[in-house]
Amino acid sequence: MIVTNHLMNNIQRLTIALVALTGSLSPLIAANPAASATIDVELVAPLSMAKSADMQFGRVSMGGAGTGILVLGVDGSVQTTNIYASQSSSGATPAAAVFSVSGLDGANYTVLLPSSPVALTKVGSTETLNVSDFTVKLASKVAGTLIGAIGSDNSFAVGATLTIPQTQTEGRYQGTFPVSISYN
Amino acid sequence: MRLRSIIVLLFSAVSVVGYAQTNILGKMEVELAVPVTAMETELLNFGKIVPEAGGGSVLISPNGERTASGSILLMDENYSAGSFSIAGVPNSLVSIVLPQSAQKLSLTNGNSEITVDGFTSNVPAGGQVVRQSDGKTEISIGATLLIGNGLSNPAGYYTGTYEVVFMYN
Repeated sequence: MIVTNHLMNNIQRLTIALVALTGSLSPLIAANPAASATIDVELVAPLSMAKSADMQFGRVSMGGAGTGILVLGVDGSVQTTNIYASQSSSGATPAAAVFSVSGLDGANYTVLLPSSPVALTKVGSTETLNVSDFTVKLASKVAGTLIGAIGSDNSFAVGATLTIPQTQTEGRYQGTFPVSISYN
Repeated sequence: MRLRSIIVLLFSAVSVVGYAQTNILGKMEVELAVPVTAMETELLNFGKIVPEAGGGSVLISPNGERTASGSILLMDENYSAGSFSIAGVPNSLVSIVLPQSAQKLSLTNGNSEITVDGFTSNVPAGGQVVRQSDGKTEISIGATLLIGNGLSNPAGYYTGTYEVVFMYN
């Protein structure tokens, strides 16, 4: 028992020393341990996100007069103006980007997408194309809803609009766009 | 004991603050390809025919064979399927959209018309491959010339146009 008490005392001292390291909260705890027992702490599972699929606009060629516009839907569908878009058998298949989310079950989170155009750069060149009007579809929500819940919305898809000036040169254009999620 | 457990929780809470928000970069890509271009290399030509009273039809297949049905006499051998030389991205697949309605051929020196319908091509269902070697391919088009009554169309030279659309598959 003596040994045990001695050990307990050591732990007590060690604990107090650790409390001293936590900053402004620690004097309160150290000075009045009884009061600190009412502090409510919620353990939050880390929010994490992984990419499941890249955004792919596919192979397109200019057709008609004027600026080309390709709207890539959150379901991978494609609507074009002054552009011919390839189907699956030629070139890459158009696809929305997909991200998976994990975190505290039931917690709400908000998706933040770029609000201004993001550039694609031609491989081996400096020419750029603009991608804008990012759209989102959370797994269990209607398209456009930005707030999802862990458990029912463990993934979301992202679409966007590609604008191609009529004089744009042929080539492969690549880029990245930032996506951020945060607990509400 | 209780104090210690609380402190452990506090430390845990501090350690996850950085994960309340998370960021990632998504990749995106597009391939801007040269448009498909087409050049007519052969006229869709039904040749010289002599319709008789019952009328009938003349079929030109995409591979250039000509057959008549009804009371029509086929004359010279100067006929051909329509042919186009297509240029596009090497190894890509090109598909075709043919006229979906009847087209008219008009008498060059008069006011008479003949109908052409049933356009067909030799493009496979999944599209035709553009050659890797030179970025080209050839596509042939056939159709059916319809003559309701041989006596209603005066003899002469009838011409017309038809529109086809080539696109990446």
